[in-house]
This record gives sequence, structure tokens and C-alpha cells, in this order.
Amino acid sequence: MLGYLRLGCALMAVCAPLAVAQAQTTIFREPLSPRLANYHIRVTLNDTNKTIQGQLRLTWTNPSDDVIPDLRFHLYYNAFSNAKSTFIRENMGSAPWAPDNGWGWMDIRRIAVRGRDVTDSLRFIAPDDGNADDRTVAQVMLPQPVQPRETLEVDIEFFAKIPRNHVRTGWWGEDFFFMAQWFPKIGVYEPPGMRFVPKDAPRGQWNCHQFHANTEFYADFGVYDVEITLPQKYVVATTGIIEREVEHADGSKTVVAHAEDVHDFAWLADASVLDYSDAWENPKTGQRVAIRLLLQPGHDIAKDNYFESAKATLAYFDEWLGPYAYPYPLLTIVDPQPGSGAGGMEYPTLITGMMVYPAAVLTRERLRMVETVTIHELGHQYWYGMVANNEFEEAFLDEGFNTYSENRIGDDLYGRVGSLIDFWGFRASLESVRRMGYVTGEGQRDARVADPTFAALNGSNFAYNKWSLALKTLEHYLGRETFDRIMRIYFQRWRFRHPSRNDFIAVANEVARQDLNWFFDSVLLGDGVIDYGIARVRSAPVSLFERGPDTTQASGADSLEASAVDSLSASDTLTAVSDTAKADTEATDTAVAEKPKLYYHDIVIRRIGEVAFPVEVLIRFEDGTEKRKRWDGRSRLHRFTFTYPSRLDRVVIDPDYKVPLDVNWLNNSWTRPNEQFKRKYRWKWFFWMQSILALLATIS
Amino acid sequence: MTALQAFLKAQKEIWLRRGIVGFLYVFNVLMAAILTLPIGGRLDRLANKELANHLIDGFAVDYVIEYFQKYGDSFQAIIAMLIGVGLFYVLTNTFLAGGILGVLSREKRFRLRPFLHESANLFGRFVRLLFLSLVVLILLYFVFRLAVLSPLKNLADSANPDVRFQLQLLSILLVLLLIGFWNMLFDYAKIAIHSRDIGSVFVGFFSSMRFALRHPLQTIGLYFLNYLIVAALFVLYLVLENQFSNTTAVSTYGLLAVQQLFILSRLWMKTSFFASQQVFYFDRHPEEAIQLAWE
Ligand SMILES: [Zn+2]
Repeated sequence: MLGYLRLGCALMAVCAPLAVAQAQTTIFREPLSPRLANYHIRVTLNDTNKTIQGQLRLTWTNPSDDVIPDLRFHLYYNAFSNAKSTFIRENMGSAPWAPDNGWGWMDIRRIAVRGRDVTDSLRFIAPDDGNADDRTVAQVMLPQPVQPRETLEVDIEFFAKIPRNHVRTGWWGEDFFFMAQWFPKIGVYEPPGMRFVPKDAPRGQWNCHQFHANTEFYADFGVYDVEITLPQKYVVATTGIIEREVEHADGSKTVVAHAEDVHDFAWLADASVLDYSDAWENPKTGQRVAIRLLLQPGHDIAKDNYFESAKATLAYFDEWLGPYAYPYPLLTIVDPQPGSGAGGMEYPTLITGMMVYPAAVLTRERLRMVETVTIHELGHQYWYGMVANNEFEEAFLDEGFNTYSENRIGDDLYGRVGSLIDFWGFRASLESVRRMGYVTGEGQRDARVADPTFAALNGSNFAYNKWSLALKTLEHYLGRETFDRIMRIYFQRWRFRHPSRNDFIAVANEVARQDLNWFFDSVLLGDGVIDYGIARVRSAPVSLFERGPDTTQASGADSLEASAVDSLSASDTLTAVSDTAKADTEATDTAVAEKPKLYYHDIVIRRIGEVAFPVEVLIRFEDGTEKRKRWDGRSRLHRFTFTYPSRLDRVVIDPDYKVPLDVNWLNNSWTRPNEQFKRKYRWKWFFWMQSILALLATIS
Repeated sequence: MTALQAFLKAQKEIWLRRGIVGFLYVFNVLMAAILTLPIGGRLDRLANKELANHLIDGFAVDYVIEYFQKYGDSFQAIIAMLIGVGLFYVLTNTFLAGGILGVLSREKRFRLRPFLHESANLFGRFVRLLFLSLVVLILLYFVFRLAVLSPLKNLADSANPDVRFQLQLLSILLVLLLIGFWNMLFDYAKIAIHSRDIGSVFVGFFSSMRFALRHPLQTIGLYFLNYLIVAALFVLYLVLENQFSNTTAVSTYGLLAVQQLFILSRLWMKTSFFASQQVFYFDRHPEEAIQLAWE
């Protein structure tokens, strides 16, 4: 697999310069993908009426041994055509959308298959919810069905009203167009054995979902040749590379773009944007990726932030997932007009960043919005762009993997503690923000994967937050080396192939050489949570303790949850592990000579969540000695007892924060009361109150 | 008399009657202490968790949000208490405003009896004035939004990002100026009501309007001179606060000392607003300043 890749990529260094004069550019000598859906599109933008008119020739190959009677197309723009579409209906619940004059729609004027007009057989279907008013999926019945492995040509004439920018597509202001999902796009035909279609199924099936409020996309790979005609004042950026621009006498121009082994095509037309370029080069492999940045005027202060974070991310993935992980010759970054809502989105080889005025100016280097959005969207190139799972059904395979990647790269580039915010003592890492979202967000206990993403209203908490934390937890559990091998093999084996979760689980089990299904069953498919807590900490001089445990609360020992334990221990049996003899003899011996007083320590920890996960427990004594104990985490309660000649300083479950899925870290620790903390915050609070009162009094 | 001269003279006047600031400070400390009491128990419960160690060397946003998520409900009582104490504090300060003006204009030194006597004398009118001022603020804001902010926003929406940013800053600045201007009008209303013993708050308000409009540059200049010094003090405090690591008892108490100096200076400035504007007012209306015969 790497072989042909290297070959193709060696060629790219030559192909990288833009606007190549030849008519037919070849980016990859050998295709990287099956290239099932290939488009040649001619489109004309009418920027006053905000419409496009297009002709499209689709060359599509039946990937199965089935005889297929129909074709199915996504007409995404129709989600914005009326208030009854499934998209708008689903959106109304949370965020009402008032489109004013911002409606958009798409009309197929003529469709011909193998040269025969089949326009009359075109009808709208709603495979997900039966909504008769939804027109985002069109079906055409063919006079002659598609034969197994047949390649056929479909010619479509379409006309579309561009919506005002919504979910990152459409027009904004006078002269800004961000064009995504702007052409009729064929669905994915899944043969038996692919994703969730059983191997022994009699035939495959179309996977062509309606446009939902909470979904992104799914499409087959192919080659795109797109000719865009529009007024000359526009700067154009596209998926793939721009081969040439031809100016016409009437003040318009045609931009000719070409992309290979991508599953979507987006473009930008913006009359006021600035055009910058730079490149990332890998000295080890000699690979060169040109980077084009379309920046809004006045956003110059973010220029380097965009370029530097993009280069660092390309380098990171290359190192992490293998050489030429990003095989394309060009990466285009669009910094969209503020307010356009086009920011923070991924399309093949083209991403949109995000710069928020005035926050970006005031908090440069402290709130890394530009950088982290760039890392995130660029990360999508690997997951959404190449691994290309079905985002309608398994959004987490894209967003979760990508968020995990983003957190990790953010840590690496900007430090573990304040990778996102480092502002006046407020610090937050990307991961901590995700964890915060998971812990405090709705839908924490929902088993999201059991339902397709499009049915899930709070699916994002699962897809982004929980799943990125689950991967981090798994990384800690397996060790980074093994985990990275899984990721690398999963990426290399499954890119350009649309895997499902089962394909990832199979790779994980195979590479880790152990059955990890218990993890995936509980964390991915189950609705339980991980939560461990300190149930009881008692320590007292041995002499005292012998008189009876109830009178021997050591000073400062936490009795907060002791009553809970006592009631529990009546019914549950404590898994008593006396470590006194085996683990502590050594330490005891050395210390006994100078400090003969022995303490008896009794620590009970508790599994509160339904999911069992092995955890480490740190026990530190006042003399500085530390013990680390592992516990498989299965039973409801677990007890450690020690006899040791020093008092307890702290007990911490998961001291290295290896289980970010634990939904409550507050109950993970018991420490000797921190007097400095109390002092600091008591006076801090006092001063805050003084200040608030003084501020209030300004009106009197 | 210029604004600056009025300001400087006022500082001397306050120094002679510094008991006013002392009284305001003691009251501030007492009220803040009441609001701090219920926190102790919560801190005790957190102090034996690892969170405490994290919070010592920085503000760990994720932990704190998690804490509020889990135990936030118990803060409702504290917030209710803050609202109650805050209201009481505002009313008491409204009460004391009469005393401040009285002592500054009629007494050589701060004495508690006349201070409270004058406060009680004016309290009813000042409370009514407070309500009037809130109504005026709301009206003023709506007019201002219609006349200034909305056009500015439209301008910003169509401007390029650079200009947009400046326009956004400008509108924030303008709102702050508006609030300052409003606050100033009602300071003069208090001064006029006090010195001429006006019974109607409307008459007081209109006479203050007349006064401010007759000397627009001096009154606004004087007000914002005070305003700027408050802002400078705030910046100075932030700079100083950054010097304290806050991980040892010494640094905690060191910072506390700086904080108390900051609160004291803010209360001094609160008095300075009244004092300097009253000095300026009497300079323009010497006939009303008969009480200052001892000078
Ligand atoms: Zn994403």
C-alpha cells in the first residue's frame, strides 16, 4: 500500500505549483482510492441573484455484484427550501432559524443516464423519517438497471438558489460565497460485507440519508474536474488544485480546478480576500505540501498563526500516522468573513479557520482560537477526508478521533496545561475543555452509538467529548506505543475505504493482541460511566486503634463519606487486602528505629460508576514515602490497610489523570487539609466581596 | 476655578475629614465579612481534596466548573445573600451620601453625630432620587441606543474588520461615558438638594442638569478626572497583584494588605467624587456656601 503511495507522492513535488497550463493534470500516477464517483462540473455563478447554474457529468461505478435498479442523490440545498424540511424541523427544537430571504434550493432540470433522459422518473424520497416535505434525497429509476461492476455516465443539468450562509455553506454580505454541498451528489452504494451490511446479505443497499440538523456527510471517492465561471473580481479557492483561470471579454472568468481521490468538492469566491502562500516541507521524505491561505483584510495578525499551526500539524500527522499521511500537493485554508458562519469546517484539502474579533486581538497567544481551530480542521483531512467513515451514522469515528488528535497536538505544541487558554491565571487545555463538556454536558449517559448520529439530539457530547476522552483513556491503558501502532495501522489500512466502528475495534484487538471488547462494549456501546471515589480514610496510632475502630478517627481524617461506607459495608463484602505484611515491611524497618510510633491506616475506595476500569491508587505518607497500588476496579468496594510509622498525607485515585473518562475527579482524593488553600481563598473571596460592594455603591 | 483646582482642593478637604473614608471602609469590611462567613465551611470541605493543591498555584478552570456543576446548587443561598447584602449596602451608602456632603460642607472635622444627622435628614429624598436615577438611566440608554449605538453597529457591520474592531471599542467607550455622565448628573442633584435644601427630587435633578449644561467642559472634565484616577488605581492594583505568587502565608497576607489599600483608595475616590464636585459647585454658587464661613 505504501509502495504506490510513495510513487505518487514523488511526483507531487513536480505537480505542486499551481495553475498548471496543461488541460489534464495528474496528481497521483496511481489512484489512492477506488474512484467510484467522478464528477466533471461546469457551473456559473450569478452573484447578484445568488444562484448557480450547472451541468454535471457523473461517471459512477457500481462497486457490487448487484443489479441496481435506481440511483440516489443528495440535494443538500433543499434542506433550506422550506420550513418543513427535516433539517429545519430538527433544528427548530434547539435553535430556531429565521432565514428571511436566505432560503436556498436546488432543482434538477434534466437528468440523463447513459444518454437517455430519465427526468420524469425523478422523485423525492425520505428514507430516514418518511417526511414527505423533505426534498434532500432524490431517486431516479433506471430504464435499464446498473449491471454488476458497470461504469455508467449520468448527465445532470441543475439550477440552485444559494442559501444565505447556514451550516457553513452559502452567501454572506455582498461578495462572499462559500460553496459546499452545492451540486447533486450521488449516495454511497454499500455492497455486502461493507460496514454494517452483512457479508452473507443477498444484496447491498444505498446509503443515502436525508440532510439532518445534526449530521455531516458521506460520499464515495473520485476525481473532480470543476469549471467555475464568475465575475473577475472574485478570488477563488477550491478543493484540489486550480489548474488555470481564463478571463473572458464580458468581465467574467472561468476557474478550472482539479482534485483526485477526494469525496467532496467545496469552493470559495470572495472579492475582498487576501491571498498568501507558504509550504510545509518534510526534510526526511522530501515531501512538499503547498499551503494557500485566503485571509480577510485586517486579519493579518493571524497570518503566522494559521501557517505555523498548519505546518506543525502536517508534520505531526506525518510522524504519527506514517510518511505522506497527507498525500495531496496543496492545502487551502480559508479565513472566512466574520459573521458569515463559514468558520471551522472541513472539506477535502480545503478547511475554514476561525478568527474572532475583537477577542483574537486582545488575547493573542493566550486564547489560541486560530491555532486550535486550524489543528482541528486540518486533522479532519486524515479522518473525515481519508478514512472517510459515514458521518451520518458514526460521527464519532470522525469527530472523536479528530478531537483526540487535536488535544494531543495542542498538548505537544502549546503545553499540557494551557493549550487552549492561558490568560491571567485562567488556564485550560483542549482536553480539559472536552472533559468539562463531557462531565457537565447533557447526554452523558446516552449510548449514542446504539442510535445513528442523525437521531441523536445531544450526539455531539458523545462524538466529540466522550469519544476523544475514551481514546485518551485507551492510550493510557495500552501505553502510547501500542496505541499509536493501532492508530497507524487503522489509518493506513482503512483510508479511502469507509470503515465502521467494528473495523476499528478489529484493528485494536489485533494490534494490542488482547480482547478489548470489554472496553468498547462498556464505553462505546454501553450507557454507564466511570467513577471512582474515596469512600473512607482512617488512620490512627496502632495502640489507639486496637481499642476499637469507632473511637479512632485520626485527626484530619475524612469522615465525609464514612457513613455511606458503613451502610454499604453491612451488605457488601469488603475486598480486604492487608498489605501490612508484604508491601510495607521494608519501609517499616527503616523508620522504626527513629520513630517507634506506628500508625494503622485503613483506606476504602469505591466504584461508583457502572463501568469497571483498572485504576492506580497513590498513597503518600507524611515522611514523603509513596506507594502506588493497582486495583482492577471490579468490585464495588476495595480496602487497603497499612501499618506504617508515619501519618497519611494523601490518597489519590488515578494520580496521573490517566482516566479522563472518570466523571468526577473531585471525589478521587483525600489529602491532609491544605491550610494555605483555605487562607488564600478565604481572603480572595473577602476581597471579591469588598470589590463587588464598592462597585455597587457607585450608584448611590 | 478649574476642574483640576477643584479636585486638588477637594483632596485637602477629605484629608481633614478622613474619618468619612474610615467610616466607609469599616462598613465595607463588615459587610464583606458577613458575605465571607458561609464560605469557610465550603473551603473546609474542599481543602482535603487534590483540587485544593491545584487551586493554590493557579485557577484550574476545569476543576472549578466541575465543582460548580456538582455543588453549584449550594451557592444559591450565598447568591441570595449577596443580593440582600448588596441591596442593603447600596441603601446604606445612599443614606451616608447625605452625611458625606454635610460633613464636607459644614464641619471642620469628621464627627459622627452630624454625619449621621445629615444622613438621616436627606435619606428620604436621596432614595427617591435613586429610583429616579434608575428610570432616567433606562430612558437615557434607549435614546442613546437609537441615536448612537444602532447607527454605529450598522456602520461596523459594513466596515472592514480593522475598522469594525475600533468601532466596537468605541461603542463600549461611549456606553461607559454615558454611564459616567448620568452618574455625574445625579451627584450634582444630591449636592444641590443638600445645599439648597430642595424638597423635590425633580427640581433637584433639573437644577443639576442646568448646572452641568452651563459648565459642560468643567463638570465633565472634573468627573472624568476622578474616573480616570479610579481606572488608574485598578490597573495599578492588577499589576501589583501579579507580583504575588500566593503560595505562602506571607504572600497571601502581603496581597491582602495591597487589596485593603486598594479598597481604601477606592472609597477615598468615592468621597472625592462628592467632594470635588461640591467644591466646584460652591465655587460657581458661592451664595449657597454660607455654611463654610469658618474657612
Ligand atoms: Zn470537527
